[in-house]
Formats: sequence, structure tokens, C-alpha cells
Amino acid sequence: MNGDLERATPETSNWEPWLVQYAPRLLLFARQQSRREADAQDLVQEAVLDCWRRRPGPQPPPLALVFATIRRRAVDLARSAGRRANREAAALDELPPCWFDSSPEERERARLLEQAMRALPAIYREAVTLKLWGGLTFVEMAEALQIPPNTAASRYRYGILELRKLTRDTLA
Amino acid sequence: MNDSDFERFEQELLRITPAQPPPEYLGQLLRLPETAARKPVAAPWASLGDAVRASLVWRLRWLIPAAALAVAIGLVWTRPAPRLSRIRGTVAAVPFLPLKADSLRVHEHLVSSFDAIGRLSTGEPVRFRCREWMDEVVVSDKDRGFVLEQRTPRVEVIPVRFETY
Repeated sequence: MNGDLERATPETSNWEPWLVQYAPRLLLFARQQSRREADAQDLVQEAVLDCWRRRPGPQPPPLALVFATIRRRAVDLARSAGRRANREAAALDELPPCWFDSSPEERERARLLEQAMRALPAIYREAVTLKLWGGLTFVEMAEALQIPPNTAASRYRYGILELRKLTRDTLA
Repeated sequence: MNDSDFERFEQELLRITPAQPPPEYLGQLLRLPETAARKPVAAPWASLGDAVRASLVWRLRWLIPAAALAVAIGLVWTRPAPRLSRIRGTVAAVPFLPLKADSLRVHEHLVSSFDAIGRLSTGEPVRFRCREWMDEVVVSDKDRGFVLEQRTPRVEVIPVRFETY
């Protein structure tokens, strides 16, 4: 079995473009699911490796599976009392990373959007993130969040409406 | 917000893209394939033997509840049948007490009441007064510690002519 795993390694040619394309989206979702940047980065890295271990081969894993793994691992992480204490202590002296592109022309809008996203209830925030920036379908969202597709769709719609209310005066 | 506003707002949001990961972290992610190739840590077990054992245990996990069920059935099956004399003795020792309810309560609760309007074949309108009731009978015997409760839903429909209403 180990021999098989040794042979079945992800091929750089397939994985590189996949990681370059999706790493920002995965990290955005992980940042929303955790409080520390280091935890978010660990979540993405472990989720990608975990998915590859489950489906060894040259093809990158389905995006929905990686999002679902990040979410599951984030829940496990939050339950861990020891790490929580460390995280809270570290959060005091750590600047939160920007969730969105902070290029000079978009910096202000990104900041306003991040504020609004942070104000959204978590269930709406994750639905909006997975659909809008994750690019998942409602069925894939349902798999990732373990909810019915109709619920995923309604959470997304409510999330967008709520986001609109929160940014009415700030985003055009 | 109508559909076109909704879509416009979605497009507006999409213009703001997720932040790029720090370069050193992206580099670390891009090295994941090499790391995975160098250290095949996929299996949580240490050796092939452990893997086979873990796999077998996983495949045969249904045996645990099945074995528990088999033991329970075996215990029931092999339990000695109670002797007739003992049953007789028990029956004789406890005198039969007839059911004696010390409380009987009969209620009807009005669940809802509404009017519905229909039309006869002649075109004449008829009003129906509809009421949903819940009939409830409760019998209890405090000495024996039982309560019997029966609830039956009932619908009452009374046609009322428009002229009389």
C-alpha cells in the first residue's frame, strides 16, 4: 500500500496552475473559518494534502472537497482547547490579514467589503464566499456545507441581500 | 432588490478579488507535490502489516454490533423457561384487581374555526362554517399509576345560506 502511495504523487504540471488559481480562494475561506493567519494557512495546506491522500493521483482534487475539508478541519481546530488558548493569546499581538485584494485602487473598497463580510452571520458569509469567490455550484456548496441545495441557495441569496444592506452607502 | 440589481451587485462584488497568499506561503504550497513525493506520509499506520490490519478491522467493523446482537439473542434463546408452577404461584399470589379509574375527563378543544364559501350548481353561493375540534378522553388510576389518553380530531362543517347569515 505504501508503495502505491509512493508512486502516486501529484504531478507538478497539474498542481501548479491549480494551486496558483485556487490558493487565494481557499485561503480566503480558511481565513474566515479561523482567527489566526497561521491557522488559516495550515488549514489550506493540510486540506490540500488530505484530499490528495484520499484520492492519490495526478489530478487535483475537486474544489468542493477541499472547501469541505477546510471547514471540517476548522471545526476540529476550534474544538481543541489547548490550541484555542494559544490562538487567543496570539491574536492579541497579530494584525489580521486582509481578506481581499488590497491593491491601491481597490484598497478602500476591499476594506469596506471585508468589514461587511465580517458583520454577516457565519452561515451567510460562508455561502457567499463559496459561491461568489469559490465558484462552486449550489450542489457543490451543499456537499461542502452538508446542507440541502435549496438551503445553500437561500443562504446565498439572503447573504447577498444582507451584504447589500450593509454596503448600501459605501459600495456603488 | 430585483434580479437585475442582484446580478449587478454580484458583478460588483466579483470585481473585488480574494487577497493573494503571501509569496513565501504560495511557494510552500507549490512545493507540496515534491514534499508529498519525498515523504509518503499518506498512511497513518507505520507498516504494510498495520495497514492490512487496519483495513481488515475497518472492513469488519459491522461485526461488533452484529456480535452484540447475536449474544443478546443467544441469551434470550438459552434462558430457561419459567416453570408452570412458579407462574401459577405468582398468579395465585396477586389477586386480580379490576380496572378502576379514579378520574375520567372528557374534553373537546376547538382547534380552529373558519368560514368557506362554495357555489351550488345553480350558481347560488353557500357559506360553510367549518370547525376543527379535538375530542379528548383521559382515564387515570393513581393507585395503579396509569393514564390512558385518547385524542380524536373531528371536523364539523355546517352549510349556511347567505340569506340567513
